[in-house]
Amino acid sequence: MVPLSLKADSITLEFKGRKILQDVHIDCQQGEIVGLLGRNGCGKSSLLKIIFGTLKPIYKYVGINGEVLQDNFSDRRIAYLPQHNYLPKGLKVDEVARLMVGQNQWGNFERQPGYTDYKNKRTDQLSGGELRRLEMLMVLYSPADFLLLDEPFTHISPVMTDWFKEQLLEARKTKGIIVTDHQYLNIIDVSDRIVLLNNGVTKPIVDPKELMQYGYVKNI
Amino acid sequence: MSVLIPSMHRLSTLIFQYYRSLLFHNVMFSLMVGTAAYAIVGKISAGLFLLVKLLGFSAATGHYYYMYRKSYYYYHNAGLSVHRLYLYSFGLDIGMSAIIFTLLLLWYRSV
Repeated sequence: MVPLSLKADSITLEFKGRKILQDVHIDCQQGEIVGLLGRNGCGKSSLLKIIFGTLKPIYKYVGINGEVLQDNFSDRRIAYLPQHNYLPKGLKVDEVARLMVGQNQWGNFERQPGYTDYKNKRTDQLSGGELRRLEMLMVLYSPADFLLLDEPFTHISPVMTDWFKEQLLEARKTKGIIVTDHQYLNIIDVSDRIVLLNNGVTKPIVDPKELMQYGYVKNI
Repeated sequence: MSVLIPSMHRLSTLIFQYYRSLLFHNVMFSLMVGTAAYAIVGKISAGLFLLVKLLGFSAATGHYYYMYRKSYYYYHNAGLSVHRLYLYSFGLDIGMSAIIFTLLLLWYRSV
């Protein structure tokens, strides 16, 4: 089966007259993890939100295998993990999980300790780490063909980082993933290729040492 | 054996989840606006009822957006846009309020 291909092109975003994204292009195939790096405020999160469909740019093209997506989340082909906790408070874990997790993914999802240990609790009864792990799992096991992950490695412990990397590699078997984080070593470690967002445009990074040339890191 | 929720049921469950989280503030704001409107106009008409509900619902939605807007990503990931969320839950609110209002009116006339 030919892998699906997500393409975002000509994305232009301005904020208070300042151009954040200028004619940006990024693409991702099923079975691939694309790492998106860039300095603070360069527009990484905005780019992911535009692809997901919750931020309106001046112009965008987002399509899967040439089919233009108008409302990207309605048909649940793209899922998005925001930087912050996103589950509403006071709802039962089991109830929210059944609404977000894909039918084909449920069998694997319901064996995950991050779900089974808490499925009878309410979302506001979980600690920050437990909630984050559950939210990560629910995105990874969503029915979406493509996942957009915004800073998944931030504020999690080293053990959880290793666990999440394993989960990512497992999810890659059936999905395309674009992941961004300031923990660039984790991104380099887990990604098949790296894209740097610099001065409003994306640049493919072939060798991680190029990150020094663009001034993203001092040493690598 | 797990039973996943089919799509129409999933949609209605999402709407009820959202509506439930609005309910307290929605009732409070609607009562406040309704009391003020009744004091000014002196009677409740269908048009005034709709206006009261619209203002009460908008205030409750604004409060939810201010306090919990991050949770909109849950609804997006579940396949529901904010516009549809607002539209369907407002429809639900109008329907439920109309039923309660009619029952109260019938009870009031019977005593």
